[in-house]
Amino acid sequence: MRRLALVTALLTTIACTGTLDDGSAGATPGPTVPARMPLRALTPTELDGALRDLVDDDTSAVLRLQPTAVPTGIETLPIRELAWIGGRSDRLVDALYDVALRATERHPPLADCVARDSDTACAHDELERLATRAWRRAPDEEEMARLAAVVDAVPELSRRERIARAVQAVLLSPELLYLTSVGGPEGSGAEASLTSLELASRMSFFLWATIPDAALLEAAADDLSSPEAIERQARRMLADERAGRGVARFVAGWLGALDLNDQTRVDAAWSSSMVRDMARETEAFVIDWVQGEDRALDALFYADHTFVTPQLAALYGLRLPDDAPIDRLTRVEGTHAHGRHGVLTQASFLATHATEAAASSTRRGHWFVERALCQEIDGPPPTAGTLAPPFTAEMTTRQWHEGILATPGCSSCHARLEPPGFAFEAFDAVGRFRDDDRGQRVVTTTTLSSGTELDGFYDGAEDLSEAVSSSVTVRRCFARQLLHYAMGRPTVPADHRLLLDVARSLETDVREALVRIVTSSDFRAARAPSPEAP
Amino acid sequence: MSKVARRAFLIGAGGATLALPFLPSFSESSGYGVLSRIATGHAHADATAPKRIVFWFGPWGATPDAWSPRNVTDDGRSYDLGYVMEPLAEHRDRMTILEGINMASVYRQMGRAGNHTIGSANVLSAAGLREHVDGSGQRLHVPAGPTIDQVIARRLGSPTRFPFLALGDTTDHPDQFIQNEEGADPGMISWPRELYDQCFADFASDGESRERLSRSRRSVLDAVLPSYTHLSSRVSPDDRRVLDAHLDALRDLERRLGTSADCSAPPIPMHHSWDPAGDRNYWSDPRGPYEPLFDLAARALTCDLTRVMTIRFDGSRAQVRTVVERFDEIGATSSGAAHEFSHCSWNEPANLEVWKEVQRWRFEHMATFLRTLASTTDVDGRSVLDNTVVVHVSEVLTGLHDGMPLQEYGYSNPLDTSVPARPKGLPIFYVGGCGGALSTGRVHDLSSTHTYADGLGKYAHGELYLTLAHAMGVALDTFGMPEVCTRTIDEIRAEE
Repeated sequence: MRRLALVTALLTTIACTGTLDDGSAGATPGPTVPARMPLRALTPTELDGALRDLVDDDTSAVLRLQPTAVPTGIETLPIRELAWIGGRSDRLVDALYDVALRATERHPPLADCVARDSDTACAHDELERLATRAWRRAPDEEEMARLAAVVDAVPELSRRERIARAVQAVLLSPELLYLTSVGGPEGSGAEASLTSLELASRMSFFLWATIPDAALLEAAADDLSSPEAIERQARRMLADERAGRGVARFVAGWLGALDLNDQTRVDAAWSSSMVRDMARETEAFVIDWVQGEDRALDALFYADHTFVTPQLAALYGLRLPDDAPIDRLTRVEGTHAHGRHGVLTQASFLATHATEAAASSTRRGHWFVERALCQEIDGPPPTAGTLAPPFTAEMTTRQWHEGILATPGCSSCHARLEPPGFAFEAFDAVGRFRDDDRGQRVVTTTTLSSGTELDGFYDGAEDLSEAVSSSVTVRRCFARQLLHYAMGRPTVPADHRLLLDVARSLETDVREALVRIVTSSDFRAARAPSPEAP
Repeated sequence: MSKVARRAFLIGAGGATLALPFLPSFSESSGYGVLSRIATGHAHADATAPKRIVFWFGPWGATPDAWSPRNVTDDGRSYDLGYVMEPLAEHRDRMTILEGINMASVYRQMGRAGNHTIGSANVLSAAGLREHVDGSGQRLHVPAGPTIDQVIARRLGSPTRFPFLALGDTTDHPDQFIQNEEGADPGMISWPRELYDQCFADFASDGESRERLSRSRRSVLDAVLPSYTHLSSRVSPDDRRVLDAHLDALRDLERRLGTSADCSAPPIPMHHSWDPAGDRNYWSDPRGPYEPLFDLAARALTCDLTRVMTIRFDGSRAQVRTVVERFDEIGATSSGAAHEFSHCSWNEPANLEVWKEVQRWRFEHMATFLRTLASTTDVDGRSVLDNTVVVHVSEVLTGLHDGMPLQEYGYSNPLDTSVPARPKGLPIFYVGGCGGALSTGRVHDLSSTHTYADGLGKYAHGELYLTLAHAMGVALDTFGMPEVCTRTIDEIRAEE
């Protein structure tokens, strides 16, 4: 997204198709969906979650691998991370050894075993326990023999290093790193559905962003094929402290904010810790949304609270108690008074959709059109660079973008991009509130004409956020992308009923929407539906 | 070959290499078209040195009047370097500038149109563009065939620890520009620390502990590989490809553990950290990570850790204001990143001046990289640079998106009389003679005759790659889009 947005803003002209998508993706001639649901790699967040549960590793070791080589395209839903392991497998190998080495020191059962020098049985037992948990099945004898061979491979090394190598081998298994959709045995009548174990894994990674716990595995061993059994587990899981981690990752991807730490802003407030705090704010806010009392979709866009660290509070002009811990998030109420009301006024969103040095109504508007309204817009034509008016030192960002809007050859598309973007004009390139831009008062008034019920006059981000919070277009658009994320494939017309169902549930309670998704036959399917069939 | 036999082979090869870091794995006749053979003899002091190739991809084109050589004599041997090329003056005896080479593959597919996406897919592939839809329905634009670095690396076999290294700035467009023969993106290294960890961390410990480390790592792979094979047999053919690619990468790692090289460890790059254990506060350095990154890259070549390298250097991780010393004095009106400046037109003189300074700064980094190769003596007594060819390419002619001459916009627009200078082709030059296979020290203007379309010049850029492959001892028949890759560029072939 970042990359595309960059191009878009730089070239400042968009040749648009003007297609208005009705929410039934797949209606456009698109990819042939494979007969079987594709295998997918865990995302870095999911693998980090699994490592935390398996060996108490909370260092975000995998996320830190920073898969910059992953091409990011038009949709940066977390699902794009499917390909991230591709070129980086050797770095993953090393990172998992570091995790294993830490585990032999910090994860009590392993650390105890390392300390008991004469106890040879404990290594076997601990590796078996770990493998069972990581692979969601008991290892067979041959597999245990292979792990034992790793422990014995280099006797000159310390006991700790040798056990850590075997732990690394457990973590490197494709049964941890990938999610399969093999389904039941051919001809059994169950080949079109995920096995209970596959379903349990999908549920766990979707709802918790980590591996299943013992209770879920037990339910899977028993039978997890009836909607009632699935619903029981889903409700139990949504009441757990891990609930919402998957949705938080989804929302960050939906906002386009996953790449934030790759970016540079020419601003004294910009630092790696600030960027991390911005991402943490959105994550905490979304998890709280899923776990809290007010779980309707509108709360995402029109909340009166947020979670900030002292430096982020300073950026927002919020007051925190003097003794607020510097690296912790503190919940702050009454943020409306400071112009902050939900994700669209959080710095993670605002700073992502800006250029290195300036706020960009093109980028913010581009996000709005594609991600909030689910409307398609083409990239800029190659001539774009020669058309844009110069951005002079006296101009406000709004004046420059108005200039683009008035330029022949630019206006047809920018007439769709700029108006929603202008509503955010009171926020600078790092998401700080501003009254003036280059000495002139900022102008946040704008008129939307998107062909949706949102069309009309707005003054500022609060006004627009309030309208977004009750918009059925946005609700359906959000539901569609959430479904895409949950199922690991784009939605097709056959998903339409489920999509409406999920959108309706979102109106009142995101948890209900999540339950709808995991109990649906689409979520359980091991075969992808035909892209055309209604 | 059985696993044990393969292992023995690898260890054998590694042991031999350990004794003499520059052991040639290929014996080469001088000149062209000779298939390389795996050397079976012993290393001698007068041994043939290995050949190396570096593809230096400097995106966003070049400003024609600041890039092109001036006052060129008829024989092409006397000329003045263009302003932005001046930092490379110290290497001009080893340099050849090629004017008038264009992307006929783009012309075949798109006509006279071009932009970064089309150009990036073609810049190293010369094969055209294809749309790729991954398993989840995401659409990407990728090269229609493998890129030249990958093809050469594959054909060389794996004489070194890394069959290839790709590093530098990741693209600011969604599409990939490197692709292996399986159609996958092999991945790139962005940060000095990352490159250090991959290439040099091992050399920080003594030989014995390195050997122990290698054995224990290999035992892990021995335990893991069967589980990939097993799962692979249970999934659909599409999924199998994903797992097999992962398996191949692990096998390559295993192979790498069996090879060895002798290299002293450079200091750990602490600054500009891609730091797996710490904060990633790299943007705190406004000059970007380039100095340590290219220093390590040059060392990877002089240590013979790899013989094929691709560098993509756009400079986007440095702040324009910092690298252009006279920024405030110039009075630019544009606001931000280097890419933004590359798009400015000749009627924005201040912004254009900044963009020229950025281009010059990029070539300063290249000059430093080349200096390291030039100052290292190879096994045959020549410099490493003489046994290497470093070729500079770009995906467009200019920052105004000229994809080829006679295009109807930008610097190439024949209808615009205000254009100060027109580009003849891509900004292409190479430094180093590739072990005596390529001639150096002059300018070749190849723009006066046309082969594939008016204005496109005598050769297509795929034909340059074909020529370079031959110089490396890789006897390809054609490369990229075959209809626009029909012969080698004889003009740059060294005299026998």
